[in-house]
Amino acid sequence: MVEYAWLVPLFPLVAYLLLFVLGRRAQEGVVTAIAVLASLAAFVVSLMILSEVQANGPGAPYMFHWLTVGSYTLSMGYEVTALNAMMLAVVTFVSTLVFLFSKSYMKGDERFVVFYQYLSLFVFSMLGLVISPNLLQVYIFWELVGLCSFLLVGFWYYKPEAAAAAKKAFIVTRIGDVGLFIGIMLLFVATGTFDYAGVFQAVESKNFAIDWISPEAFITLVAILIFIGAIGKSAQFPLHTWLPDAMEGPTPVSALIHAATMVAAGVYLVARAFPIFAASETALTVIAVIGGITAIFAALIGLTQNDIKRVVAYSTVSQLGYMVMALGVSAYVASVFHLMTHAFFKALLFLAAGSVIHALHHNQDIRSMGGLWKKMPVTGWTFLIGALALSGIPPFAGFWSKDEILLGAYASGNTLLFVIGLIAAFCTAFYIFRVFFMTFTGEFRGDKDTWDHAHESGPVMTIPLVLLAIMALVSGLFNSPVTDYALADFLQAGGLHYGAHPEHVSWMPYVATLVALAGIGLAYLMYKTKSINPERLANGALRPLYNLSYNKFYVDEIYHYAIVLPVVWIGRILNFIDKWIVDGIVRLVGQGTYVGALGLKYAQNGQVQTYGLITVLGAVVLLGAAMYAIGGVR
Amino acid sequence: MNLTTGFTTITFSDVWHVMAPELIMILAGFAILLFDLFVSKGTSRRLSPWLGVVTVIVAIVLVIRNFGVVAAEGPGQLSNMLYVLDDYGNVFKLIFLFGTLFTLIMSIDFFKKNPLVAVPEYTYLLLFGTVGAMTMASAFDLITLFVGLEILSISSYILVAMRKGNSKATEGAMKYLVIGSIASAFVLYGMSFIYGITGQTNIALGGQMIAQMWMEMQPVLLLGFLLMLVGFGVKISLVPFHQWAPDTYEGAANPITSFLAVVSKAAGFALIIRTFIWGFAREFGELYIYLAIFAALTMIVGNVAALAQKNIKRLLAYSSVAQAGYLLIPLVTLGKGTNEHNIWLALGETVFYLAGYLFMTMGAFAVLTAVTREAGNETIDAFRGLYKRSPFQAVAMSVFLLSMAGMPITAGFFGKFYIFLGAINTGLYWLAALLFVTSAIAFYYYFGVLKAIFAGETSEEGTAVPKLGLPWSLNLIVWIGLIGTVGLGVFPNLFLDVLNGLHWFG
Repeated sequence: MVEYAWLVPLFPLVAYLLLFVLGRRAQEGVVTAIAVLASLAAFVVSLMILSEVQANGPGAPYMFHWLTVGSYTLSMGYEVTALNAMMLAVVTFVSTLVFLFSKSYMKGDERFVVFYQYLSLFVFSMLGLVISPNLLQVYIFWELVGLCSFLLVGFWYYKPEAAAAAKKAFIVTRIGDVGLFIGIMLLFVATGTFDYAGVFQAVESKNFAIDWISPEAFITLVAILIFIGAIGKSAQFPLHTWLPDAMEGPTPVSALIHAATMVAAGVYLVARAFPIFAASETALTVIAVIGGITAIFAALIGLTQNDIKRVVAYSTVSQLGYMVMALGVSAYVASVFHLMTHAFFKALLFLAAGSVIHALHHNQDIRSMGGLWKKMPVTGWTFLIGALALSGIPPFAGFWSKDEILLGAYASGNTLLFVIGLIAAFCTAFYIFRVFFMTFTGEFRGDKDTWDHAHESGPVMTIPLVLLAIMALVSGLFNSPVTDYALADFLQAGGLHYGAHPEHVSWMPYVATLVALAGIGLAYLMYKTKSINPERLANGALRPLYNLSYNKFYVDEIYHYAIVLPVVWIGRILNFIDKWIVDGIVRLVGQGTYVGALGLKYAQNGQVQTYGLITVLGAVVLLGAAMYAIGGVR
Repeated sequence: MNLTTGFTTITFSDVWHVMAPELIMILAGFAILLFDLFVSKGTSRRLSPWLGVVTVIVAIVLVIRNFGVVAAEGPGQLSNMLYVLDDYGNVFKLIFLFGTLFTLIMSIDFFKKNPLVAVPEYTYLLLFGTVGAMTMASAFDLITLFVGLEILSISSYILVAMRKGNSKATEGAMKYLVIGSIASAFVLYGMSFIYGITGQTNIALGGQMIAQMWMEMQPVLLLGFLLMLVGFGVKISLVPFHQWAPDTYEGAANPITSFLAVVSKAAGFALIIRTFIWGFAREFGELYIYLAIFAALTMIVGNVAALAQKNIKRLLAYSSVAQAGYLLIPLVTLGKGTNEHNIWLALGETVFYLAGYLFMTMGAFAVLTAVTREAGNETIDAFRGLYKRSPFQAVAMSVFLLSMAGMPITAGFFGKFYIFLGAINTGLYWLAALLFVTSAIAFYYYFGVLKAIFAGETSEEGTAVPKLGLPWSLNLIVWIGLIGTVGLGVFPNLFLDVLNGLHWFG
C-alpha cells in the first residue's frame, strides 16, 4: 500500500474538485457525503499504510524527475516514513470527524459548499506536506496550507474581526515562511539538493559547497532559519499572536487548525528534519528555550481569558511549546507522541466548545454560561475527558505524553526547563477546569431565553465527540508500559535514534499527577465551591499580574508601537522625500539648466520635464560612474 | 552564419519564407485601412476588430508552422542577415501575438462602451505595433531593430491617446511620447558610436569587431553600450527610467495598458537580449554589472513605490516595473559565462516568466476592466466586496494577484523560482536574495487588494447586493488567464520541455 501513498492526499483533492464543479446549488447532505467519504477513504488508506509500515518498516521515497536547472536536477515525489505514516492517520482521522461535525455546525450557511471546498483543500495541502520527500515540495504545500488557513479563518469575512484575524494569520506566518525559504535555499546552495535524504547525508558528512562559513555554524544557521518557519506556523513565541485571533473562524476550522493541520506542520517539519537540528547543539538550545517560554507564557495568559475558544487556543500555543521544547531536549519520540495525543484531545475540546457555542447561539463568553451539564450531558462528558487528558491525569492520553516530555526535560539536565514544564502543567490544569466548572456546573448566568433553547447537539455532532473522547482516553497507551512503548519502537524503525527512552524516574508520574490535581483543585475551590473568591484575587494584591495575563502581556500592543507604527512612519517619510525633496531637487536642477525652456510647459503639469530630467540625469550618473570605473575619466 | 557579399535579388518567396506572419499582419492592417474607406461606419466598426482577430490567429498559425520550418531546414535569413528566422524570434512572436489577440478581444468590449473611439484605426495600429514588436524579435541589424522599435513605439503613443475625451489619456500619451523620444535618441546615439567604431550594423559582425577592438576602444564602446541600455531601459521601464509608466498605464484604455505591459515590454526584452548576446557576448563578464544594478534598483523601487499606490492601475504599473527587474536577472546571469548552456537556461527563464506574465496580466486587466467600470473609479476601493458581487471574478483576481506575488502553484511562483535558481546556479546570490526579499515586500500590496476583495462590504446588511456580470469577451480572457496561470504553475515541466527542445538561434 505504501506505493499508493499518493492516494491519501488525492481523495480530498478530488473532493475539492467535485465540490467546485457542483457549485452552490448542491444540497448540504450531498456535499457533506462527498467530503466525509473522501476523507474517510483517505483515512482507510492511511491505516493500511500504517499497518504495512508497522510490519515491514518504511520504504524508500518514490521520486520522479521533474526538471533540470543548470547542473541541478529537481525531483518531485512522495515517501512514507514511520513519522509521516502516523501523521497521515492522525490528520485524516481528525479531519473526517471535523468534516462530519461541520455538517450540523455550518447548517444553513449561505456558503456551505465553499466551506467544504476550503476544508478539503486544507486537508489536501496538509497531507501533501506530510508525504513530501523534499523541502521544495514541503515549501509549496506549506504556503498552500497558509493560504487555506487565510481563507478559512476569514470565512465569515463580513465580520471585521474575522477579516483582520485572517490577514494577521497570513502575514504573521509569512514572516516565518521567509526564514524557512531562506533556510531551504541555503541548504540547496550548499548541498545541491532539496531531498531530505541528500540533505541529511551532507549534514552528517559536514560536506557543504559553501566557504563563507564553517560547516558547524552553517548547520546552526540553517536549522534556526527552518525553525523560524516553524515558529510562525506553530505559533511559537514571539509569532504566537495570530493563533488566538484565528479562532474568529468557524469552530470546526479552529479544531482543524489547532489539531491536525497548520500548527502541526511546524512541529512536524522540525521533527522530519530533525537530523539537521540534532547536528547543532546551539540550534537545539534555541528551540528548547523558545518552546519553554511559549509553554509557560501561553499558559499564564490562558488563566484569565473569558472566551471559551480563546482559552482553548492559548492552551494549544502552550502545548505546542511543550512539543517544541521536547524536540529541543532531543526527546524526539515524546514530542511526536504529544503531537498525536494532543491532536485528539484538542480537536475534542474545540468541537465540544463548538457544541456549547452552537447550543448557545454563538455566545462564547464563559461568564454567561453555567450549569450546562444538565442540558448537554454528552458534550459535558466528552469535554471533561478532553480536559482531563489536557491536564495530564492518568490514564488519559495527555498524561503519558506530557510525562515523557517532562522526563526528557529532566534528563537533559536543564532544571529550569523542567520546572517551567511543571508550572505550565499546573496552569494548564487550572485554566481548563476553570472553563469546565464555569461552563458546565453551577447556575446558568445568561438570559432565560437562551437557557430554554439550549439543548444537546444531534448525533452528527456528538458522534465525532465520542470517537475523539475514546481516542483521548486510549491513545496515550500507544507509548506506555501497557504496550511496551510501541510508538517509540515504531518511530525508531525509521532509523531515527533520538531520545527514545528517557531514563525513567520513579517519582515523575506522581509529581506530574499531583501538580495537575493541584491545578484542578484550585479551580474547584475558586469556581465550583467558591471558597476562594476569584474577583477578590483579581482586584486585590494580584491585580497587576492579573492585568498582565488578561492583556496577553501586551504583546500585540508592543508590536503595534514597536513595529507597525515605525514602519508606517518610515513609509510616510519615504513618500514625503520622494514627493517633495527628490522632486524639488530635480526642479532646481531643471531651473539651473534651462530645461524648462524646452517648451514642454504646455503639458498638463510639470512632471514630464521632471521625468525627462530624471532620465537624462540617470543616464549621466550611469555614464559618469562607468567611465570612472574603467578609468576613462579622471 | 555565413554572410555573402555582393548584391542578391530578393524574391517574394524569400520574404514569405522568413517573414510570413509579419506580411500577413501588414497586409491585413492595410486591408482594414482600405475597408474602412469603402463600407459604412457602423459595419467598419463592427467588423474591423474581428478582421484583426482572424489575422492574428492566422499569424499565430504561421509562426507555429515556422517552428517546424526551423526544425527541418535550420534558421532562415533575409538580405544579408538583416532579418532572421529562428526559434528565438518565433517564441517571442508567439508571446506578442497572443498578447495582441487578448488585447483585441478585450477591446471588443471597450469599443462597445466607448462609441467615440475610432475602431479601424485602433485595430490596424495594434496590428502595425505588433509587427514592430515582431521585427524587434527577428531583426539582426541595428537599423532594422531601430525601425521595429519605432514602429511599435509610435503606434503605442497613438493608441494611448485614442481614449478620446479623457484628459488623463492625453497626458499619458504626451508623457510617453516625450520620454519615448528621448529614449529613441539615446538608442540611436548609442548605435552610432557602435557603428562608428566597428563600421558594422549587423549585430553579429559588430560583435566580432567589438571583441577585437575592446581593449583599445573600451571607453567609446562602453559609452555606446550604456547609451543603448538607457534607451532600452526606458522602453522596458527600468528604474530610474520608469516614471512614464504609471502615468501612461493610468491614462491608457485598459486593453492598451495590458498591451503596453505585456507586448511592448516583451518586445523590449526580445531586442535587448538578442542585441547584447550577439553584440557583447565576450565583454559581458564586464558589462553585466550595469544590468545587475538596474535589475536591483528596479526590483526595489518598483515594489516599494507600489506600496503607496491607491489607484489599481498605478499599482499594477509599478508591479509591472518590478517584474521588469525580475526579468532582467536571467540576462544578468550571462555575465557569469556566456556558454551555450547558460544562454539556453537564461532564455528559458525569460520566456517562461513572460508567458506566465502574459496570462496573469491579461487576466487581471480583464477583471479590472469590469470592476472599475462598475465602480466608476480606479481605486483599490473599487474592489471592496467583490466577493459578494461576483465570487468568480473575486477568485480569478486573487489567483492573478497571488501569481504576481509568487504564491506556489501559480505561474508567477514557478517563474520567479526558476529565475531564482538560475541566479543561484551562476553564483549571483545577492541578486537572488534581492529577488526574494522584494517579492516578499510585494506580498503586502497585493494583499491590500485581496483584503478589499474579500473583506469589504459595499451595501448595508440585508439589502441585496447587485451582482457584477462579465461580458463574454472579458470572461473568455479571464478563463484563459486562469488556465494559463494555474496550468503553468502546476505543470511547469510541460512548457519547459517544449522550451528545452527549441533551436533558439539555430
